[in-house]
Parts: sequence; structure tokens; C-alpha cells
Amino acid sequence: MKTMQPRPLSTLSLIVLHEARILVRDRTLLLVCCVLTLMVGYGLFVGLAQATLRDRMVAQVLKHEQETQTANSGTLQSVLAGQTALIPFSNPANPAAMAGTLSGRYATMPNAPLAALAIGQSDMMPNYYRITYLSKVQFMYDTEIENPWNLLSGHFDLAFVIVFVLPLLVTTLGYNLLSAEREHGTLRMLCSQPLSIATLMTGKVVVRMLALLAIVIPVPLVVLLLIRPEARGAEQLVLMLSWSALVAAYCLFWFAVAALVNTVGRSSSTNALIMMALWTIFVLILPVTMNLAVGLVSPAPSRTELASRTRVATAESLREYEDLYSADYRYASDPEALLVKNERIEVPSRMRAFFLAKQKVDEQIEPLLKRFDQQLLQQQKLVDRLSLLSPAMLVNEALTSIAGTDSRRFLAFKDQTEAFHKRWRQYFSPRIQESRAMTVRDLSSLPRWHWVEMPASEIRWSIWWRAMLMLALASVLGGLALARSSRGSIE
Amino acid sequence: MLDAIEVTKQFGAKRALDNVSLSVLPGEIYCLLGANGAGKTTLVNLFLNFLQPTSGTLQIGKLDVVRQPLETKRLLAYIPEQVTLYGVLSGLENLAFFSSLAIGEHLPRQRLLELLEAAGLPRQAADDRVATYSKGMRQKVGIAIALAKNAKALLLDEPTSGLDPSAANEFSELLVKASNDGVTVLTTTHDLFHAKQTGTRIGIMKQGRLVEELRSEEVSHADLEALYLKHMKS
Repeated sequence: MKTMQPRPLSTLSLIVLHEARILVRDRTLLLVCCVLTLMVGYGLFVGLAQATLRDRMVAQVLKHEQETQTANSGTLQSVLAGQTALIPFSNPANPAAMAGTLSGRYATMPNAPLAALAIGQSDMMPNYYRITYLSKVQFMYDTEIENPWNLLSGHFDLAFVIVFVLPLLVTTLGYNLLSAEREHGTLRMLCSQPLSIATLMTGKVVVRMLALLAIVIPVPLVVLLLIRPEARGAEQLVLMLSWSALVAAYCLFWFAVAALVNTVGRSSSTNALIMMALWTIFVLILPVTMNLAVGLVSPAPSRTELASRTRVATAESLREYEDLYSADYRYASDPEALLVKNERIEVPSRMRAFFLAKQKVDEQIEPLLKRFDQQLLQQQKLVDRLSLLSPAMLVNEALTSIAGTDSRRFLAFKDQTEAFHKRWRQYFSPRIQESRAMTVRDLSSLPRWHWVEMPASEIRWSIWWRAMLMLALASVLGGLALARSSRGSIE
Repeated sequence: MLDAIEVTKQFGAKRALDNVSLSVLPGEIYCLLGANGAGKTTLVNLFLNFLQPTSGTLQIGKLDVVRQPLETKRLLAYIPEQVTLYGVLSGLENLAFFSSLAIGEHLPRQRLLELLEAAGLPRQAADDRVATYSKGMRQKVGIAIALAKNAKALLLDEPTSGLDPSAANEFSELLVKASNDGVTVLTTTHDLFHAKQTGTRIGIMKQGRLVEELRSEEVSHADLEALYLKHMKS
């Protein structure tokens, strides 16, 4: 009598094909895939809408900047030619006016090429600031400092679909990997063949995982490549691969959980309950608990303290420049004061006082702002550390890093804006102090804003260590499930 | 070919098998008789490595069942009391899948149909979904799977339970034919007549112990029944 020696690979491929056929026949897979496609589509649409909105905002801001520059240039030429005499506040020859009310400069942060993949912090944090000589407290710290996790459940974007919904679909497909076979009685028939439960379970996971990943990975990437040209670079390709690896690792993690739960030998309904409990713990309870813990261990700095300190600093600087503030506007009685003479213009004392006072406020408030930033940084570090406890947090952080909507990028934008704001003031400070009139050439040499993207290596590292950790977690759980399956009885 | 050596199986406080030793030679049909809970199915499950023994050794063709589960399963085919198949697949598709799994190659449709026919399933039912099959029809697909495997040993757990007399008779004929081809058969049954008719040896189990072993040609139907009842009442 002849006995054939089935090769492990062919046994696995047999299981994969068989499982695919069963899932297609009983329409479970079709239903799950339809739900996932709809959710991925909607999530991507929300992300694209947000990215488009922010693109438009930046475009409008830059257009406004351009228009203001042109208008200022025209007006300045007219003023310098003696054709127009303007009050100091609207006179572009007046450096204090140019530094403040007439300033058309904006600090903008463009969307990252893959911004549509996750909204992250982008609907809360500004992506542009209007730069004037005003105190940065007035234009940069007028929003609440939020813990990055406050918004975790805020949007139905693609990241939400991946972090929240994908595990639920994995649960739908995986809660009864073995228990259904046991309950239907087919497990006995299967296990009477030269087939290990580990191979059976691997085959079942492979086909289910491939089905989910075949939707959740290529659909968004193809759509992005088609409708967002900026997503087509080599660097973006690396990010897309990282994103794919991360999603696959997260999906594998949940299937490993399902496999492990199935090796316990409980009924399908019990398995489903266990899976739901684990989902609730990992995806809902842990992030919320972490959020509370972060708030407790590293509380957000007091807004009241900042407001009070700003008021005190403002009052002190008002006192300091009291004399300048009390000076009258001379041009009311002496229109000659409005004219540019020998490249000089009279900067009204009050305007100079205002410029100096705002500078003083920033100097005085700087330590407190530093503390704010430190606190925020500390919160972020704590979130990074605590995210190791929840796969959902881990993945969400990495997804927002890939999309460039994570808090790190916004902090970098804030830092760069602060530096630019300083440069802006430094440019105007001698001109205001020395009453030097602005020239047409000056207008073209005004400090220009350049957004410097975070180093790609830093972004890649922040993604890859998370992806690797997720893969390691999935491997440990999967290995445990396979080890248990080879030890346990099928009864 | 099939050897159980001092096998004990404990489920918590309950001892399902108590130091059972049994050996079935190639070409033998060994019928295990016993009341419900006597340990017959437990012994079959142990040979299939569905359960692990608390102590003792089980061998198929001198291979250890626990240490070499996949190798031993290549040598045997199993037909349970209730052959449970995939309801959404046809009988033919079920046979194709299980036979591929068993022998590692795809059998052509014609061969699959021949196997189903040999097992007694009408050809016109081969492409119907198994969900529409009767218990007897599913049993026949189970037999076809066993035939496809061309196994050296057959493990049967009350295989004729629920079959009509004619189907049960056909099944017995198949067993005898397999035995004549050198296949070792271990079957559990409540059917004394079937055991006497088909078996070459008969074992009687009671409360996890093998209390009697005899050759079927040595006893008459009446003697077997009397012996069985005596053990059950004692």
C-alpha cells in the first residue's frame, strides 16, 4: 500500500485554498470585505477632504501674502514719490507699520504628502501663523494645550478605521478559527489527516489576513497615488511601505490574539466575548487610562497662569514705556511728519513703545513658555512610553507620523515659527529704533519663511521601531498560539 | 500494527481508561464492544492523538502516536459515528479536499467519482451540497475519504450507527475486503451481530478496562451475547 508524503507547504496551500472557498461560499468574507471597503473609502475621503482643506488654507494664505506684498510695494512707491501721504498705521514706509499691521508674512506648514492617511492633530493645530511684531503669546498660545490622545477617537479617518475598526473585523473573521471547526465536528475529520492544528490555524489566518490586507493596504495607496501627485516620490514610497508594514503587523497582532484565544478551547461565543473584551481593553480602556495617567503625572500647564503672567508682563512694559506711550501723534498738527526725508521717517513714539513693549512681554514670558513647551514635550515622551502598553496607541502614533499629522511635526512647526518671529523682530528693531524708512528694496529683502521638514531618518525611525515592536508582539502571541495548539487536545 | 501498551487516561478524577493493552495485527478486524462510557471512543481518540494518554504508549506501525502524530496519521483513516463535512461544499469537493490533505495530491474528478461510487454514494448526488445529505450519505463520503487514503489502518467509531441495514451490510463487506487486502481495522460498536459477523477478534470493555478478548470464530452469536451481558451485569 502506497502512502504519499504531503509537503508542509502544499498542506498549507491546501488549507488556504479550502478556507478561501469556504469563506466565499458562506459569504462571510464578502460581507466583511464590503464593510471594510466602505469604511476605508469613507475614512480616506475624510482624510482627503481635511488635507484638501488645509492645502487650500495654505494656498489662500500665500495668495494673501503675495497680494499684500504687491499692494505694499505699490503704496510704498507712491509714498516715496511724494504722491501719497498716509497716516503712520497704514504707511508702508513706516517700519513699525510694516512689522505689524501691514505685515503680510505668514509662517505656513504644508501638508505632508501622505496627510490624507491620518488626520491626527491636524484639525486642532494651526498650519499657519500670521507673523507680526506682536507677542507670540497672542498668536501662538491662544489655543488649549491638549494631550495628543484627546483626539484619538475624534475622527472617522483611515487611521480610525485601521486602529479601531480593523480589529473588530479581525474578530469577526477570527473569533471562531478553531472553535467553529470543533463545534461543527469537522475538526475531528481534519485532525485525522496528517495535518497539525498549527498548520490549520496558520492557513486560516493567512487567507483571512490576505483578504483584509488586500483592501486596507492597496485601496488607499492607489487612490493617493492617483489623486495626490505629491505622494509619488521615492521617499513617499518608503513611507507607504512602512505604512503597509505597520498595518500588516497590526492586523497580524489581532489575528495572533484570535488564534491564541482559540487555543484556549472555549466555545465560539465565549471566544467572541473574550475578543471583544480584549478589543475594549486595548483600544478603548488603555488609551483613556493612559490619557488620564499622562494628565496626572504630567499635567497640562495652567492657562490661567499664562494669562495672568502675560497681563503682569504687559502692565510692567506699559509702565516701562510710559513716556513713549504718552507722547502725542505729531502728524495731527504737523503733516510734514508723515513724509519720508533722507530715507528717514518719523516712527510715532506710541508705535515704537508698542513694538518695544511686545518684545519685552515676550522676553519676560519666555521662561514660562519654555516651561509650557517642556511640559508638552514631557507629555509626549510619556505618551511614547505608555504607548508601549497599547498596540492601538502604538499604531496610531506611527500612522500620524507617516501622515505628518503627529504632534512632533506641529511642535517643529511651532519652534520654526518662533525662530522666524524672532528674525522678523530683529529685522525691524533697528529700523524702528533709528526711524529708517522702508525702501522698495527693503520690501523684497524682508525675512522669508521657509518650512524645514523634519529629517526623514527621524520620521522613519519613529515609524519603524513601532512597526517592529508590533511585529514582535504579534510574533510572540502567534508563536504562543502555535505552541499551545501543538500541545493541546482537540477535544 | 495498532498497539496500546498499558494505556491509562484520566479526566480529572475520572479514569476513562485503566491500564489497557491491546494489539491489532495487520489484516485483523478488531471489534471493541462495551456500554456507553466504557472507554471505547477514548481509546480511538488516543490512537488519533486527539487526546494524550495519562500514561502508557500507543503505536501505529511501531511509530509513537504522541511523538510522531503526523507520521502515524498518514498510516490510518478514520470514520467517526457522525461524519461531519463542510455543508457548503459538495460531496465531491469534500472528498477532493480531504483526499488531497491525506495523500498530498489532487485526484482527478473521475477517480473521485469512482471512490464515491465504491463507497455507495449515487453518482448524481456527488455534486450536491453536503448540507442536503442524509447521515448515511455523509457516512459514505467518509468511507470514500478513507478509501482515497489507501490507509494501512482503519479506525472506526461506531461506523454503522444510523446506517440502514443494507448500507451497514455493504459497509461490513467493505471492511472485510479491506482486511483481506491487509488493512488493520479497529472498530467500536454496540452491534454484537456486526462484531461477530465482521470481526476477527472481539474485545469487551467495561469501565475503562479491557475485560475480555476472544476470537470471533471461537464463539457463537448466543455465547457472545451471554458473555457480553455477563460482563455488563457484573
